Amino acid sequence: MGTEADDFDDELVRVRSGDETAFLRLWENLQPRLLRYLRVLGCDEADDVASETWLQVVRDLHRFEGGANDFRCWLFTIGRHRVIDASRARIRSRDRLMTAAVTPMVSENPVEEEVLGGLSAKQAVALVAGLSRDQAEAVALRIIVGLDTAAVARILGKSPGAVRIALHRGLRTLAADPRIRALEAVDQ
Amino acid sequence: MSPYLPDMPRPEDPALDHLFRALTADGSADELADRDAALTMFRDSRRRFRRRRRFASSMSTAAAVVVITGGMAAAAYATALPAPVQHVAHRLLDRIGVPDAHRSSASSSAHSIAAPTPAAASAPAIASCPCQASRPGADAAPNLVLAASHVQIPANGDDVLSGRLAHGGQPEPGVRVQLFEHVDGRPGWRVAGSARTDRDGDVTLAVRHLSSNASFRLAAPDGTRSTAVLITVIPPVYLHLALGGRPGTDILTARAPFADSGDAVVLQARAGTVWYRIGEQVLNRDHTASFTVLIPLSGDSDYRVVVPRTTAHGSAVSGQVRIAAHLSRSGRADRAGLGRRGARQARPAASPAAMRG
Repeated sequence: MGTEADDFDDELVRVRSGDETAFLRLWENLQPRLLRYLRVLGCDEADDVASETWLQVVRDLHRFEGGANDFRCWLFTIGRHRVIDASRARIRSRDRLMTAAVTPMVSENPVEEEVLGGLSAKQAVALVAGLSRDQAEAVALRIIVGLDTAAVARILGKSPGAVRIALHRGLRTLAADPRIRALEAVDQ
Repeated sequence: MSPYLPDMPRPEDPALDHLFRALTADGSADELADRDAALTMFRDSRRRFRRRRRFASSMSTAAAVVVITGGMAAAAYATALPAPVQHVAHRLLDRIGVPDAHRSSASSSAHSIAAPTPAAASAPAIASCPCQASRPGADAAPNLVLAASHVQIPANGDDVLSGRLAHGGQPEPGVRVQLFEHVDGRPGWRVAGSARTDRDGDVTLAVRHLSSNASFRLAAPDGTRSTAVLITVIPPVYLHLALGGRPGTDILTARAPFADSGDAVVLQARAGTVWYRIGEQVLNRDHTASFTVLIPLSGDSDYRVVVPRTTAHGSAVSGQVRIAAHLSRSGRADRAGLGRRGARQARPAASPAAMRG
């Protein structure tokens, strides 16, 4: 019986050989996470940036070497660079982007609605995007993408210790958020 | 989709469980709306990739054919092939002086070229056809051939031209032949020099300080002429990096002292293994052209310039210059205790130009 890593390697071989079904499986598995990560970074044009990211991935796929974790790391590193390029091109400040990302959740979804309807992915992303940049990226790469601490540290150019601290502080901030606490109250 | 991936921390606070589940939930219809576009992109990209592979493969095949053919010609030229093969090569390549098999050993010393110039030692010997039966009637007219040691040289470089005059298959010694030069872009031919053939009918002439493309041909007193030989000149191109006038910019200055003012200079940036055209300028009167480029925010950028071929010279390419990313540059500067400007000034200049035909 093959492991998850073996399955992924087989899938990647099929994608490299031009198997469209295998590519779609890969895309459907990772695209939602990529979009959420890009939105956490405050990217207004997440769909466009995700398309550019996949374009580069497909173009350079024949040069990629590694397993599932390496592939996720590669994909999200490209996505991160594309966000930086896009934000530089539009000359926007991070604060403005963050505000834009957070505002709709507060205005459109009051706490009561979130509690009754449960937390959607979009709302969860907006909550994470409300953290400081370091904390938001650490939480997104660790929780949304599922990368280990070492991989997150490599992508962010920080030490694993710094990533752990940012993750811990980010999760602590989120746990204290009244909207999250309200969800817990409903469970009880 | 499982809400928890391998190695994912389980929330210490139960309240975060909702958040984790939401963040890792299956993709919504909105998030998967670009499925068809992604598939189209994948198909297009694969098609382009296959086309590139086919092109690379055909180029490799062509290169292999050229190498094998060239190798065969060189071997034939050196009379290193078995006699039957050498004879066939001689039949095919007689025009460039490939000797026949039965003459190779006996004539090896006779083919050395008298060298009035120091550079003549590198000049290829040109043999006349000793095989009368292979070319009936070939001995009816005088035959004058000319070859260059190098058909492509650096600008302001020297070259050696070797000729042979024969009549009826026999060398014509003691005949003064003239070398004519035609500079591309200028009308007419002019006499560039002359020399007397030695006892093997050979003559060697040096041309010095060629600064633009030129064709050469030999002419004998009886009006016999050789075919023209074109020598292409490659101008060196240098690329230098300097601080930009505006924040976040650098200036790349190309200098091609042997190209002409008004010649195009194309700036290229590398993406992976491919060089893309970024911009184009013309050389000004001091033979330089400048480009302002943005310092990349992340990821280093490699640049080079190409001076396309003109009637006066072949195409030339500079060495590549790497511009360090703004972030990594700042990081290095911080670690080194330097300001950003200090870090940039510490970077070495571009490497000397590489040349390409």
